[in-house]
Amino acid sequence: MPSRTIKILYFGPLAEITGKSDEHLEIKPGQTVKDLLDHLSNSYNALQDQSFKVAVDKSIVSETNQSIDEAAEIALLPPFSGG
Amino acid sequence: MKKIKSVFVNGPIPPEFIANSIAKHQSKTAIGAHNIFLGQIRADQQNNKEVKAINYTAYEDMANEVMYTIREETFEKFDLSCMHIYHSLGTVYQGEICLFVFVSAPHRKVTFEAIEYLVERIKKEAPIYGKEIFSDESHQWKVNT
Repeated sequence: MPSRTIKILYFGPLAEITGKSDEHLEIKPGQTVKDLLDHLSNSYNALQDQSFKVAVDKSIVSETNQSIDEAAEIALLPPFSGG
Repeated sequence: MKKIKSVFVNGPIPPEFIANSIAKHQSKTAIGAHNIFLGQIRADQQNNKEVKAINYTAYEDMANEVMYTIREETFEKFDLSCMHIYHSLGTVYQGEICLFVFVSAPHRKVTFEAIEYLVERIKKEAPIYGKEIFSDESHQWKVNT
């Protein structure tokens, strides 16, 4: 399986840290949510101090060892504050 | 998958919109009780600064799916005739309305329970973000408690 591109979305304070609301990343096969988070923490050191959940294709993941081979869109979601 | 209706409104929710929404139910005569929750922007004082407005952003696609699920589960749980949810995006100034939740039923009791259930779930589960803008133009990200 060749590497492919997925969309990463940043919300709230995380978009301020990364300086963008979304970006496309090239992902090799066999990667997990944790691999992606490690990669992003390297790119944006301040992410390490932030609390957030991860949604893979709009579903919040409970285990970071989940594969992202089938994922199209991954969102980093800090605590919600609607209403 | 069927197209999900968006709950989002740009800017504040006008009182006239709320009045019209109530008026539209006059033809639904099986209804005996309405209950409405309105969220309003509070001029919070923090460190001698006042919240002037909240700027809302959201993961819109996911938020609409979450709202749809909450809506379906609320209909299953309570005997309601209808239900409407609207939330602002963009800037909403202090005193303006940012959330409008409206439930109707034949009898009153379930409307009180359903409205609280709905508002609590929306605040907890919908990926919506409020950036509090202070009078000196500084800001901080709100967190729901």
